[in-house]
Amino acid sequence: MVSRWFSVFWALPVLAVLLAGRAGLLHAAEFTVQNEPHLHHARALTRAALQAAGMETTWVDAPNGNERRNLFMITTGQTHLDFMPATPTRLRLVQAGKLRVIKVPLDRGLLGYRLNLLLASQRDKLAQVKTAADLADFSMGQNVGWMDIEIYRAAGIPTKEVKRWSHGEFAEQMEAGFLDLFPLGLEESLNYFLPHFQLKYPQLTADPYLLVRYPWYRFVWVSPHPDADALYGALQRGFDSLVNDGSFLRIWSQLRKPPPQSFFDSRTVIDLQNPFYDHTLVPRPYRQLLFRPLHP
Amino acid sequence: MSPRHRPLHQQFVRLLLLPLVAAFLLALGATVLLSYTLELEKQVSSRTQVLRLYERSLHKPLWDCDSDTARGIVDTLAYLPEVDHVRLQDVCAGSLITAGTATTDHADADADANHLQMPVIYRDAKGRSFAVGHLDVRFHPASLLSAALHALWRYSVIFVLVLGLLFVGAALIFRQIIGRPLAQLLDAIHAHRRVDVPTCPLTLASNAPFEDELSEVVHAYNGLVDTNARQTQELAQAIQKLRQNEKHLVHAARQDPLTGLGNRLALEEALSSAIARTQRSGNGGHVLMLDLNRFKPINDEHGHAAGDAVLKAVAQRLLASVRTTDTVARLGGDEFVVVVEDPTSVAGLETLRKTILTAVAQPIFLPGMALSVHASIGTASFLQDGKDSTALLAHADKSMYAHKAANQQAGQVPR
Repeated sequence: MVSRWFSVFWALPVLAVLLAGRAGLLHAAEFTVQNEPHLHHARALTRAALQAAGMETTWVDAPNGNERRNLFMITTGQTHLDFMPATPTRLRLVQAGKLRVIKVPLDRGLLGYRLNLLLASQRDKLAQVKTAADLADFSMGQNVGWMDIEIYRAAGIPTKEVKRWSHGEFAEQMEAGFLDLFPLGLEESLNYFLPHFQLKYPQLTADPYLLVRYPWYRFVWVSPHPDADALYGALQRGFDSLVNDGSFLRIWSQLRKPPPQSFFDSRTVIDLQNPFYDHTLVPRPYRQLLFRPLHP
Repeated sequence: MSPRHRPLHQQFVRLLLLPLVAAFLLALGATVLLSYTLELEKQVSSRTQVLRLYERSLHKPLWDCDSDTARGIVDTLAYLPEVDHVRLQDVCAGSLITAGTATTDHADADADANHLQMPVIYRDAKGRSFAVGHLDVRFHPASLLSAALHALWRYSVIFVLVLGLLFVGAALIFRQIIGRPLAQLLDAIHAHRRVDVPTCPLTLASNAPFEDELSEVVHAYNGLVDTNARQTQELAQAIQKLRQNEKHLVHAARQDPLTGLGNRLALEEALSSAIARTQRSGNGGHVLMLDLNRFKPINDEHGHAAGDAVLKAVAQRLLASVRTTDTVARLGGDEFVVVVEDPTSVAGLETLRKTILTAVAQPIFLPGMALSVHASIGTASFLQDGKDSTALLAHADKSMYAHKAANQQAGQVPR
């Protein structure tokens, strides 16, 4: 009798494991996730969130593409996760139920701090710029489809769309007199883009006088397809957990290095309005994550 | 009326015209058909290449969801002259980009040479494939007639030129290797001479590497001419020999073999001629007939050899006694005749008779002996003693016997 109960005691867990394995519950689900060098922190935070939520996943790199391609891939379910800035188009798709988002500010709002890249030979050309109106005398370049274009144009700053930029190709257009400035996110510019661009275009440098700022947030975007339902739920739970227990800021600070306070103190800051949203786009529980070097 | 002359090379070209033109037309048709088939294959290949080229150029814009650039490429593709209509399914935009003037509905047309389509596949850095669009191109239908006519026009010109060259060349070559040698052969036949081999074509040359029918005929003809020439020469030589023989026989028939003087036949001919000439000229002439006395004893006593030597000596003395225009003949035995034309006078005849008698009467010296004969001479004068040779000779013979008889009576000669 004792041995029979003993047998059942061991048989039930084994059976459960077998059934779970047959149902795929024990296998790590495979997801296609955006993977670009400047998104290392975003992927690490997302992995941590999924881990916090207890979901095992295997990631496959999504193919690289521009914003339109990324949007198409994720809305059609070919990509499950990406980490792009919030755009009106994406927000409209979210409202329409064709895209899902976790509005956690992966860059802590630093993406809205824009540092102008320009030719080293013209390093001081922004020394006298104090207002947005002053910037109207210069021509900015941005990649096709970026939302920043609308922000700059709304502020009266002439902005041109360029197709090739990811290796610093806009430097050629600057030398041709077609562009003056190419603004990118502050932290990503200093830590990744500028060193990367200078490999091929050493004539590029960062402007030392100006900092343009507007509400501009990188979120976690999730495919609307049902195969990402569990993923979406796990991310919601996981990021909540990371934020609440302080893991988010801890992990972020391990991977990202914002400039020191002196960097901000020595610069003229020009605030531009984002015609599509403001800081309230970030849910209240996550606003504590936003970086505030100028407004402590 | 002899038939009209038509050279062999003309006949050759005329006979060759129909089959050659038929063969060329057949070749022309086959070439045009082949050309059309190749043109179609080339066109299909070219269209496929165009499609692949544009499909490749659409990779990036479609991957970037750049519909404007994709439209520009589609418009460019539709601008190609052979393209009728282009339809591009932009998967990213979920839209259909079209360009061109569609004359047929894409949906109704099956994929054929005029309708090509293929998916636009983008491959990322890791080699993964993503369908980003579908390119559907409708080309203008290939015109069978225009392609055939285009090829026909070009090849017709080439074929006519080749055909013309072939005919001209064939005629020239035929005339060179057949016509001219035959003409030379004809000229040679008319002239009864050999064909001049060095001026003939290659096969007739003396060092020709091979023979053909014409060269064999010419060589056979030349052999025939050579044989004829040789036989003609032999015939001429034979005739010449016959003539010499005839002359010799004629001469022998009129000559005394012992003395070399003329015989009776020669005497009669010479006498008849002299009589005829005397009758025309009115000049006189004489016949002197000699008979040797005491000749028979020489023969009997000293032999015929001595007799013959005597006769030869008498003959030489007679010849020496008369002019070269006079005739001396031996009638036979010891009888001689002398014919004298145009004597100056009768006294001359007597002188001549005495001269002859004296000459004959001179001793004849033979080895170990000296012999002597005398002559009895009878004469006859032309017209006076006879009008023909027979009468004159008869008269002279009678006169000679009279003279001999007178001499015997006088005891001057033995009987």
